[in-house]
Amino acid sequence: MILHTFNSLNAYRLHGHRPSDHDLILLIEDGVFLVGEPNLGRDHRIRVLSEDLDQRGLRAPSAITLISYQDWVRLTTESQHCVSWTG
Amino acid sequence: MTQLLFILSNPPGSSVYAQEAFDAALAGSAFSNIAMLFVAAGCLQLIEPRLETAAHQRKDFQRGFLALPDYDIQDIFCCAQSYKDHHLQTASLVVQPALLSQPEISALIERADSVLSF
Repeated sequence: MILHTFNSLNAYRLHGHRPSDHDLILLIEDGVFLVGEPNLGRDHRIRVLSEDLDQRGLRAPSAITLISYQDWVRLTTESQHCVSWTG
Repeated sequence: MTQLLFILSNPPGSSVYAQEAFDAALAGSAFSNIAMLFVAAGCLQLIEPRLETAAHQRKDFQRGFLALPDYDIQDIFCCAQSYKDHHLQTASLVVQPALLSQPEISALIERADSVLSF
């Protein structure tokens, strides 16, 4: 399993198709604005960094899994690789 | 030998990412197998630069790509879709990359021991 992080909407637009089905997608920084996207909750690979969401005053639909920095560290240790996509 | 994969997604010129990635790849070649994967605007690094170096106050480091085989870096890859999106087929390139589909890129990432994004 590979952990793909996206730090902006543009990064997701450019590289959102790259993660495989068994990978995880973590939205951080301005990437969290993607929670406004309908149907995002249906993608079981999506994780959103709760702190970055809070900082922007956003609420995520309940179907979306929010994670803490500690969860991120755990995911990092469990992943084969972490790949950051920027844009 | 460790396999390092460099993913380059930034264009040259506007930031130091491209140049730093190149320097890091050369340094890494001393102790690892290096593969370089150009994606999105990163593939624009492959276009042969026509810089008046003095005017732009930066080195046209991309000419250094020609030296990559001397550093035992043979694996120069580019996302086939990005290559097409940026019309590289009609551009004059410093080096010709091997074009990879998205499934091939996923396999490349899985095979690597470490992945570095620039």
